[in-house]
Amino acid sequence: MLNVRTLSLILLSGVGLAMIAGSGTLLLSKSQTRWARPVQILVLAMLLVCFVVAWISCSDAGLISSNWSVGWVVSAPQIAKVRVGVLLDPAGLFCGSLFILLSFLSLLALEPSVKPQREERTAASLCFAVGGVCLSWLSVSPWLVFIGMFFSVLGGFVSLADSEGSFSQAPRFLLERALGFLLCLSGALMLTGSGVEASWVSPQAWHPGGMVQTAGILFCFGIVLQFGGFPLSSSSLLQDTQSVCERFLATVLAPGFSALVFLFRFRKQLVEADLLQFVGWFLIAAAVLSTLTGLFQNSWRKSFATLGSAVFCLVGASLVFASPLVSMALLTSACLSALCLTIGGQVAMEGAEEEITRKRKLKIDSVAAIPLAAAFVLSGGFGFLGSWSFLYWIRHSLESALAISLIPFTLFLFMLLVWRVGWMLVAAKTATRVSWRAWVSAGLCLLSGLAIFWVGEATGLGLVSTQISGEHPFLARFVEASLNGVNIGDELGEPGIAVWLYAGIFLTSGVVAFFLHGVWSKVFRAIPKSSQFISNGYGISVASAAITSRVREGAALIEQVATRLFWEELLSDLGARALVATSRAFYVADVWVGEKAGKAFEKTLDVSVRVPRLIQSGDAQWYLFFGILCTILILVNFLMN
Amino acid sequence: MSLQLITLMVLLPCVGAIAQAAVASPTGSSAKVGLGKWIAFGSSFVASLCGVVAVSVLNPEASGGAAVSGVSWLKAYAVSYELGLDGLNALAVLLISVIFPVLILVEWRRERGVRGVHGLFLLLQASLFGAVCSQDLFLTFFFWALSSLPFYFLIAIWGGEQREAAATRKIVISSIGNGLVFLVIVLVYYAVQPQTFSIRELLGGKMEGKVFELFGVDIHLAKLAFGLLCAGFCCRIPIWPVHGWFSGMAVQSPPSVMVAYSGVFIPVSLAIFMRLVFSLFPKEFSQFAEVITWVGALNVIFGSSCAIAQRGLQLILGFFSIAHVGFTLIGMGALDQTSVVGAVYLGLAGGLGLAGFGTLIGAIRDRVGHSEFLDEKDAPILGGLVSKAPVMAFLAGAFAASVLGFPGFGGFVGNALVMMGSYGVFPYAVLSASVSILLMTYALFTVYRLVFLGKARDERLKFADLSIMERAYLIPVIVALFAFGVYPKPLLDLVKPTVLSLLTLMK
Repeated sequence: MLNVRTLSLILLSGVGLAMIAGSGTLLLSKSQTRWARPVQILVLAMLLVCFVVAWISCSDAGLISSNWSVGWVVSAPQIAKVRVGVLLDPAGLFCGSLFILLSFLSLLALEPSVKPQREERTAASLCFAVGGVCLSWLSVSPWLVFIGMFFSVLGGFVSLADSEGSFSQAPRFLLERALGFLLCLSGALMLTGSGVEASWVSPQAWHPGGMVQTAGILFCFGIVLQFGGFPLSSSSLLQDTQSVCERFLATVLAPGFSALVFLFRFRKQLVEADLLQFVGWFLIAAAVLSTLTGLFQNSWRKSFATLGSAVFCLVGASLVFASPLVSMALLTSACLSALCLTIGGQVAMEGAEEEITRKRKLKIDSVAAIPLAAAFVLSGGFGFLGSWSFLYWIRHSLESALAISLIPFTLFLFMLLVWRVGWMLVAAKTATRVSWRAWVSAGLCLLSGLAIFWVGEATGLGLVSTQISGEHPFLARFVEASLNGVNIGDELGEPGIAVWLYAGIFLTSGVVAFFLHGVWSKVFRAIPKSSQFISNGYGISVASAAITSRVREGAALIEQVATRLFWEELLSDLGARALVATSRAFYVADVWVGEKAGKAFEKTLDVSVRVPRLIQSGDAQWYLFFGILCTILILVNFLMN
Repeated sequence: MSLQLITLMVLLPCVGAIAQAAVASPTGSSAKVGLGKWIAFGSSFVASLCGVVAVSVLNPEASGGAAVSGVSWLKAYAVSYELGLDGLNALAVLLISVIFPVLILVEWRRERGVRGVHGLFLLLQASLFGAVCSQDLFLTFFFWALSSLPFYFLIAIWGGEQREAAATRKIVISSIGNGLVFLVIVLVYYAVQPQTFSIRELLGGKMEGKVFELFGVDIHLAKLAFGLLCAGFCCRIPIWPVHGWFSGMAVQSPPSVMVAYSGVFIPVSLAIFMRLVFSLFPKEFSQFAEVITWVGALNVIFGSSCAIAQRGLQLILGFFSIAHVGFTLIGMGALDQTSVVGAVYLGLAGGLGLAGFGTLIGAIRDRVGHSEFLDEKDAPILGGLVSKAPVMAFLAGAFAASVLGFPGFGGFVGNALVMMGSYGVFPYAVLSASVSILLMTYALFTVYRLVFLGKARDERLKFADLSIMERAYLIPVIVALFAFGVYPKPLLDLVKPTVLSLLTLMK
């Protein structure tokens, strides 16, 4: 077995090379795009090898970490340490590997005939996304996760910027994700500033109340926004022309996978800070609202985009209300099936109109089988992991009255959306040609969902917690036991109600979606304003635009009043007037004083000149003056004595 | 630290300014003009090299974190030629060293007045090196006041349409600021015994307890001097709401001058302010720390909000500078080791980020003739530049990420330290500032979208990507920002001892 430092070095080198490859590919000119695809494959293969080596080496060791720098950036007694390092644990290695697998399958499914406008950007986005997600799950603390998240978001942005049609979407996507990212970052900084070390190897308690909780709330909001669901989902509701596989991977999966790290790793601390329930309910609400938005879409792409966001909200909520294992299972099944749906969508939508406002007759053929099967797996029909996680979750919700009223409803809406997306594909004009690659890719997705994960151990899920691994029930046994009224695990308790409830939700959603297939357009026409309100993301983008406009106006007003009006016009005007008035006053005073002084001087001079003139003219005798002066002096002398 | 090296650093740009002006006469041949340019660049570069060498050999642990050398200048008045480097000014020296050679290169292709621009930039470089390294109050004032002159001429001669008004306003307000600071220096000189201008000798608030009576009211000399000093710096650093002069200057200045002001002069002035208040008025600063922090938070809020309302890139740069001043003030006001180190580091990282961003604004202005991105009706003017200038778009994105404090860039480390250090002391001020970052993000991404993404408004517009020379001076800046973001330890280790000793002295 390789030692931890070597392993972490290998993994980080792989991630670094992926990012360098991404940057290099991006800087390639249009004429050298022939290298783009080989670079993608090389990066994925290299990363997969790195992860496999790490997985094999660490499979027996459990959770191991390698701290590269404790006190990175700063080391001060009053604030917590900023730790940077690598954490090698099964959950991280599993999620990294899963994302690489998804990227491979997505790449495989791309139709060779359909070339993106800027192939080098597509390749770069994949490199960034894979590198970012892997780095996030390998980090020992949030600090490297931020870098990973940054690259994931960058990947999404570059991917959206590959075609003219997505140009309006790219900046909005970037802005929405950047807001989430900055909130997370601010939360982490504030936590550290409060003396709580944000790290997963030596976690410190988050005590409820005070500044730690405030920082935690910021952090949680950032995570939720990063999932792309309600409230910041407007970027997914914009029209684009990109390959749906690519878009799903780069703009939904990659940022979601990166953000999920925080929720997964900080679960215990969020419980301590009394924040986990709050996050859970917020995610449930976000999932419900995003799902409703998806249901009211006319376009398959938009429906699917909101479905992707809803998946992450549900995964996050299941992490809160059920367990990490359940959320991992849901994530795995949802991602694989959703990818399969995108492949189905890609082949079914080729050359077809996406708008389905008019009623079409459902016609199932061989190509439509892919999305239907995917929808079946995603909603838990045969998808062991999906169904198991739904079941487990419903069982958990039975413990609380509020939860039992909301969680099944949420799952119903989610399954309804999945089925609707599936039926929409079936109704669309299907492609005449489907390459073997799409079939293989879709097949692998479904096989992974159905067969490979059946046992649970091969996925590494069993490694998430060795305790759970032993009790890991699989669906068939579970269903059999529940039908016979036998408990198969203490943790699940009495499963009967949960199974029936789950089955009811599954079937009802499928049936409702099938029969309401053509009804949505009527609903749209019947309640146009409400439908539009929901389908546009509850007016969030309008409201945010209005708020931004107000901020702009307010700022401009402040600037106008505070700077231009007050400082430039009023004050400088007043100042200038005061200065001129003062100088005028000084001038007038100066003239007045000058005149007076001149006159006084003249007068004095005149008087002093007049005396000698009198003497000179003989009008006054000098001795007379001498006598008077002497008399005055004698008098003064007498008076003084 | 040898005084000669720092002296060389200060004098070389002055010598270069004179030499290039003498060699390249306006009527001279193009070869002579070329030689003049090379002299200007060479002197700026060698002076910067001296700065980098001086910082790299600096041992902040030695002699209490400060390396000072000096000779007596005006002995009768205790004025000495005392220059030194320590943790507080080392990063500012690095900033000046990086940016000024870049500015010389930015103005390389100027057709008219290149000699004057280069000469004034060199004078500015010398004055800023001198001001930040001075360990004597009189000398600090001398260099700092000197720096206002090059700005006046640069704006008044090469500025926009209303350049004279902007330059006049700038020089008037700068003179008031200089006057107030000079008054403080005189007050300090006469208040302490023995009379001295040496900052090292004045360390620890020597003016404590000095009171004078005015109309029957006791006035504390230290408080008065502290207030005057703050007012004096407000006249030269844009601080809300006393920043009206700066908005006008931001519009009328040539982009390179704006880069010099936002990217270098403001961080350097803040470093000088930090040194003066921590050394001379520790008690007064502690008393008003909360006020200063909130002024900083207001600066961030105001700067980022107003950035959204702008239609021109240069004004956006100006308001981002105001926000950066705010962050630095928050870091200073918290009086926490981490936050103060962050404030010092932000001077370098934020300065580099703003300078890079400003240089790109200049490049855009050179190509399209203006730096507006929205017209009067808020309709986009530019757009789609990414397809015409991908390298420029890439670098603009990287600089924007650094300005916003994204991880991986120097701005992140500075912002992170300020926020981590200040949160425990003034949480609400930090929260307000954090929310304002979101506004900055919105403003910057909107600008990026309107300038680089989308469809070009004018398809016929010829817009060349960055030239080899532009790449040659911008890529090292982005690499430096990346290096400072990933491995900040050596620089932080340089700053910490000085900050620690000053804070210990204060407490």
